[in-house]
Amino acid sequence: MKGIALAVFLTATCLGIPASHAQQLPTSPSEVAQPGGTIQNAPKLALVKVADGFHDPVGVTAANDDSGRIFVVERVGRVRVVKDNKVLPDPFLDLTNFNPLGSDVQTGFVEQGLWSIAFHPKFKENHYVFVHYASLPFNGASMVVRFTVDPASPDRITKEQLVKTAKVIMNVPQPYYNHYGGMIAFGPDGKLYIGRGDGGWEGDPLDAGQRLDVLWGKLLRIDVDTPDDKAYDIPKDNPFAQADRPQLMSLFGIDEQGFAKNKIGSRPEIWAYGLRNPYTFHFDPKSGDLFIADVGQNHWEEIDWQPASSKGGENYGWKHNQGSYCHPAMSADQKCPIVGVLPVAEYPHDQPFETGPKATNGGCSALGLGVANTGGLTKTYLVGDWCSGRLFGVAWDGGAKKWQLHEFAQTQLQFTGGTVDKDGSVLAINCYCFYTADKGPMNNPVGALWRIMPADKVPQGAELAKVKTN
Amino acid sequence: MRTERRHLCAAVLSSALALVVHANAGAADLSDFKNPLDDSPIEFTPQPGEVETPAVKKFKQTGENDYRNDPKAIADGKQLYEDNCVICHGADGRGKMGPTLVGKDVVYKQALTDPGMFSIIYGGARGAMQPFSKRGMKQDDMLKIIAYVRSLDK
Repeated sequence: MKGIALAVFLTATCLGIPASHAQQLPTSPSEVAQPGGTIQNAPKLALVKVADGFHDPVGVTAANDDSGRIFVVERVGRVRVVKDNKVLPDPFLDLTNFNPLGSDVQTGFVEQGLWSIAFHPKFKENHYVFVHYASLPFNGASMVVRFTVDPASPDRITKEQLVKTAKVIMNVPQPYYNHYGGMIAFGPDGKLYIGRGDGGWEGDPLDAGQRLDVLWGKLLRIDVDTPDDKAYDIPKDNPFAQADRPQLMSLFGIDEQGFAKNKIGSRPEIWAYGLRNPYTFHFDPKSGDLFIADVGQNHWEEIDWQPASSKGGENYGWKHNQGSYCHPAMSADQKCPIVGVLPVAEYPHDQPFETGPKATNGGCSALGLGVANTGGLTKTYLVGDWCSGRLFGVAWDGGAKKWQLHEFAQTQLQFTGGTVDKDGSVLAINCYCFYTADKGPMNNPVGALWRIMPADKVPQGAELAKVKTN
Repeated sequence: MRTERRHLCAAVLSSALALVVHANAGAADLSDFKNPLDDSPIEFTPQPGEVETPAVKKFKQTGENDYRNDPKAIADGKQLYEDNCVICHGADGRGKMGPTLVGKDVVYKQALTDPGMFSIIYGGARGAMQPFSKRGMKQDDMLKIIAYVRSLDK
């Protein structure tokens, strides 16, 4: 953490940026932004409906091929194409019927399904797309698989093409039926990042967040530009790329920092750890900074931030901490060590601690939507809550030298994800899927795709989400 | 799809009449047939095959929930509550993942009246408090749930 703060400081100094303007990680819990903050000059926001009719939409990605297409992920195992604000009749890909024995996707629990699709940075040339889903044949293991789009059929990967081109990148067994994580995305460095949950149950019974020998509870980073007979490579600059390398033991002539670099059994795919369920994360297209929305347990949601200069290896504290508080979170005045890097923002559930007063300004599951750099917003991570429908913004306040958590609106939407469109605006999706009254991925009420924009820029006749703005 | 605007009209007229005659709880209740986010009026659309029960008809006209004093309806409401509400609001109604439904410290003040709570169950509130009308719940069952929740508030 100190290394990151120093890097940020040095970068800002070298670039001539006044230090007060450079984003910094909080160094104490009191510096972590909570509800009630204000982003200076933030506009009122509205959500304009782009398209409707999606079955349990749980992920969305804008194409990077100048086609203007938006790809909405349906939990059942399909990806729909939105083109010119219309949903194409045939799915882009369908994982429910290429296997003659039935669907390839496990959807029995609401956290299971197909979560995410990512387009290779060179998609226009190589036509590679990557998906992440819970596999039915592999008993719910999470699979990252690459498919190749036939340029002659750009809006539809046929069943035959799926089977012909499938390349399994990763198959991670899953101990329980929750906390998979889900989102996958390419970073500005061209590497594939994978949000992987702690494997489930509650309380992280496997201590997955802190263990370096498992892939659960992590943000992973891999190089998928490998020959077809090799699933992936480990980027040489991954923080634990060399931590478990075969070596001779040297007891002398090595300083303590040198010894500390040995992490026997550690997995080299790990980029960051101490995460509970990083279902969504987004890179700022302008700065390259990374935000992670780490879904909390019973009491606190947290938003983590890494500057583009990060070398990885951050420990976000789970299961020792929930946000900047303790786990278990018994009371507001409870004392415990802060493990690793603090989040930049946090918000409570209805009950912030096991004991004590209730809160009315939070939610239950933080879902990152995308980093906004348009419409009067700069480097602002938009976050929607799955339970409370609140739309938050997280941004650095250069004047006050601290992070702010700004509540833009209360909505009726159960946010599940978002992306940044080619024009820089943030798109969000909502489902009607929840733990209770779940009728299955094809029978819940349908969700929609929304464009988030300044309220005073909404085009005439647009259909708006019902909101209560502050 | 038939939208029951006539009931809304009845509610508005009834409310206006009550204001003229004398202020009473029913008048205040009827004004709570509204969306908790923007106070827009609720439109009640029956489910396919749903027939309005006498209790529902009377409720929309007067704001009075006859099931509050009906042990059988309260027992039905308990079962419905356990099937649909308990995970978020807790067995005692005092809130878990979602807010409390009992006491005065509710998130939406309109939940203190039966028309207000009915509007939230029917048309939804924020986020995961989705419209139960979209999930196929009958309006009569919503009244039973409310009757059960009120029985917890003692």
